[in-house]
Amino acid sequence: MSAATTTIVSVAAVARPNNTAVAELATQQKAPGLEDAFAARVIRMRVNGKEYSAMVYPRDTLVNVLREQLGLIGTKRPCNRGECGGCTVLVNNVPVLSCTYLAVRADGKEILTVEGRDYDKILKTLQDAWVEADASQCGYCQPGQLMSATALLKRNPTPSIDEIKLAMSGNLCRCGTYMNIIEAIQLASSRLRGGSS
Amino acid sequence: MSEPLPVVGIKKDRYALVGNKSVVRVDTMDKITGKAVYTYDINPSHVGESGFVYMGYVRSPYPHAIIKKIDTSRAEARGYAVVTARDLPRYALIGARPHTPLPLDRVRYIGEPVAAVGALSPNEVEDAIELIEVEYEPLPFVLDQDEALKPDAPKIWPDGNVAGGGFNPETGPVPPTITIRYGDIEAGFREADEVIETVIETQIEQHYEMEPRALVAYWRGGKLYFRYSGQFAHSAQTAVANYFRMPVSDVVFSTSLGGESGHVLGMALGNKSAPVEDLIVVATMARKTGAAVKYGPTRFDNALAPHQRFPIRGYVKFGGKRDGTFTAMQAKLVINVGAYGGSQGSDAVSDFYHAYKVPNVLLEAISVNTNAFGFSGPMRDVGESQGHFILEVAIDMLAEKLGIDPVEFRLKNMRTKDNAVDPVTGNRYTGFGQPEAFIGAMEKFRWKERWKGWGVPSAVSGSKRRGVGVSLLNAAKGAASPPITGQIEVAPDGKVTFYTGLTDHGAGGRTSYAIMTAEALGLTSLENVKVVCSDTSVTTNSGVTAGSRSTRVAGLAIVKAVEDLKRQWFPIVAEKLGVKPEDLEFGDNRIYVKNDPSKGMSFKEAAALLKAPIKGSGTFTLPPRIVSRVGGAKFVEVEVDVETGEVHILEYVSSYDIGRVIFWKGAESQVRGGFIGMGMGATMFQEVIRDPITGGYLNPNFHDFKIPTIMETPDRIDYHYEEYHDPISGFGEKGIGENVLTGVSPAIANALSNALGGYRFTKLPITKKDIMDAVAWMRRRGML
Repeated sequence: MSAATTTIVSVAAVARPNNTAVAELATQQKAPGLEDAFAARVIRMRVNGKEYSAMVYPRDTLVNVLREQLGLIGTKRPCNRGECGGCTVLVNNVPVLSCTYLAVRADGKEILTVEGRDYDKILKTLQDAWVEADASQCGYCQPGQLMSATALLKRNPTPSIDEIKLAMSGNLCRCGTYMNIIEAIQLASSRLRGGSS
Repeated sequence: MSEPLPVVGIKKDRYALVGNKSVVRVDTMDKITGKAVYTYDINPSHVGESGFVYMGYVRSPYPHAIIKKIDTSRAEARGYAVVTARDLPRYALIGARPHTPLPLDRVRYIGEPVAAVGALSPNEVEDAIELIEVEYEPLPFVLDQDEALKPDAPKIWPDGNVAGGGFNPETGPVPPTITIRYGDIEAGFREADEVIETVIETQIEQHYEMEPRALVAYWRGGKLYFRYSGQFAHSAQTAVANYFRMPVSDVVFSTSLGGESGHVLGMALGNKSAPVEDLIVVATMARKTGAAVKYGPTRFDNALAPHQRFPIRGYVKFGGKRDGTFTAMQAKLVINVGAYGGSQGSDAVSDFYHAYKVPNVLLEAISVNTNAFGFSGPMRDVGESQGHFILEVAIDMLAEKLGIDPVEFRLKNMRTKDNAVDPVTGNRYTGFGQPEAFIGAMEKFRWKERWKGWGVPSAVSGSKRRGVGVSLLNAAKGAASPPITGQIEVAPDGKVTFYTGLTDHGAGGRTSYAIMTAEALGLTSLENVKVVCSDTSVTTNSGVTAGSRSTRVAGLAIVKAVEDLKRQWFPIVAEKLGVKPEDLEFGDNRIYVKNDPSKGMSFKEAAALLKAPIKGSGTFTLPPRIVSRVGGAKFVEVEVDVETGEVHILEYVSSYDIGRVIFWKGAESQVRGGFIGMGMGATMFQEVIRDPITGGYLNPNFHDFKIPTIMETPDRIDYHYEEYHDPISGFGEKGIGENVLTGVSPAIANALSNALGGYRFTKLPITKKDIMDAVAWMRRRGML
């Protein structure tokens, strides 16, 4: 059987898949004066210490812009409804769920993702501890776990087990790595304070 | 017991990497720094395209309905691509209940795909779905398996609702009904001093794996290419080729991503067994659009289809004598396999008669089609969790009625290595570590100190009551089932690659395979060892990555591939050293002369003698009449607050007749994670809740379908590995992945019963409401 050649939708014309057609449609259908609300605009962000600008539509979420436009696929989107924590990134050092955070809100902000290993010492220390403590199995939720842990150690360098649990309680993991995550955060916390283990 | 089986693999007193506690997972750093590419992360350039067509499904809102009309004109007028049953070969059927991949005229479950749409972005896919109009005529439906067996139940299939033959990916076709009978069941009950009769049942669950299933497909040069997050690349390849009537080699499941290392797979948990329907529809969309198509179901889609963990209702009658003799075991398991079937309950049934030596047995299982969900699937095991819940709660009830300590009853009646044979077929176990595994966990848990008697809590403090519980484990896992193949390539620069048709579905397979490859070649580091998984263009079929079989299967393939490597490589090295090839051996990063270890050369030097890479190929065939079963135990202490219904797990100790541990950290993480991530959830929270009037899903998301969070982490988790060298293995290994879940639910249920005055929990999940029902029951009896 050979590949059929019928092309219903032209792919080559669209270098960057996005919702151009819908936005145009929406603009046409709305009353005059409302176009701006649906139009694409340029935002600027500092991501892991690097300056980026991106053309985004109002309905684009931060996770989609990071993944599809900036190519930063480390941030995952396991539920896309703000329930699992898997898409957590830091915006101005505060953990946010990037699947429910509109990209336009990130304009002018500082973003940290798991790709920022060489930019953020706390993140890097946590990532090393993650490997040693075997805190990741399939790994799909772990970028979110790591960003929540990074935010925790930024605001509380010496968390107790209960404080760790509370800070990490919004990040689900189906492999059940929670016990190892607690150990990894304790290990990183100790190392950041100059401890050897 | 007949004499021991001959040892197949490599048995040593000391291993460098096998069981080494300092070895870390090989792929974690890539996964947590954004370097690893999961299937949904694949971008168009990875597959040589400039863009994707994204695909989504229009899904049935009805559990059972006639499709009267599908109007695709509005979507097509907007330029969206549409695939319906009309685009598929009309008479090509697949599955246990033969059906077309998209329905022709009838839907049988909520969420059943009716049509597929293609658009240039995921957002537009959502828009396109809205533009497809489907006219349905709703039909009466049935969700419950026992209801579906009643004569006036709605018929899902023309011949009724007793399921057609099923298919177990590990053992092959399964008949819809099973009857196992031996001894004299009536005599067994007459002999008994006490008999218990009860109904015990499990719920519908969904996997909620963090990585939803994902798929990319495209046609090029007459071949069909897939990138997929699945456990069964090689069997899916055959299924798709058969469907489209193509040569198998023209369907390629690749993990290649241009110059980058292969894409990886998130946790499968059984939900990534081959959804052949999706593969066919995505391939059809790719052909129709001439584009590469990417399909990533939303969380809602993933919650509805296609697989769910199938519920089993067990009607149980057990009898025993006051001296602890188990005289009669009777059970009927009614299994809900959804509209189209799939995995069935044969493992649940066999666990009953394997676990205990009982002279008189009558076991029946019947698989029933319903409109509850599409396909019955594995979820970290194929029915063993459900079967063990029914079996182990009932065993506790019998021991209680006989007035015997639950541990003593189990020890007296469990199958051990002295009688490790299938009582029905006479097939023997590869190796078996019972009762030692059970006793190991019992001692670590300090059962004898903590058990205070039936219905007597192990401690009481204010409103908090503690209880202890136990479950036996005996399940068909870690099978050295065919096919078992693999290849090891050594390049002149000393780099080693193991090729396997197995995958790593998040549990650590890749690391285990690397450890065993290095160990077999005498390497003491994983630095130069690479593993290529499940890429049909370069790997050969080694069966499914399921049933805790992959570690053992890979081990066997590796030792066989190394034997072949030696045949090719050692003559070259021997000539250089002036010795015979059979004098040589691998060890300490060298190839050395056995009788004079000072003579030899480094692995790298030996590799440099090669003019081109050499590939050793390994296959292994299991001798006939051998099965693999893993034994062990689960012990739990719970603390229940009778004021709030809150349950906290204080301690969990489990044991495994594991053979030899290969990847130590990974095995420990499995033991912990299987309990925290899934076992506790299956016991106390997880249930797919349905509206009885409409059949609608009431909790198809992470918010309402409760899975355990870090807050539920137990205070202490410990384990005992009953380690020994299993003869049919590469390095003594068996398997761990599924065993960490099977038996958790009954251990917790039995512990809760012990904490709450002997109130019996016979239905999963055991929620706070059930706890408060137990508290009310106790108050009525003046126990509180």
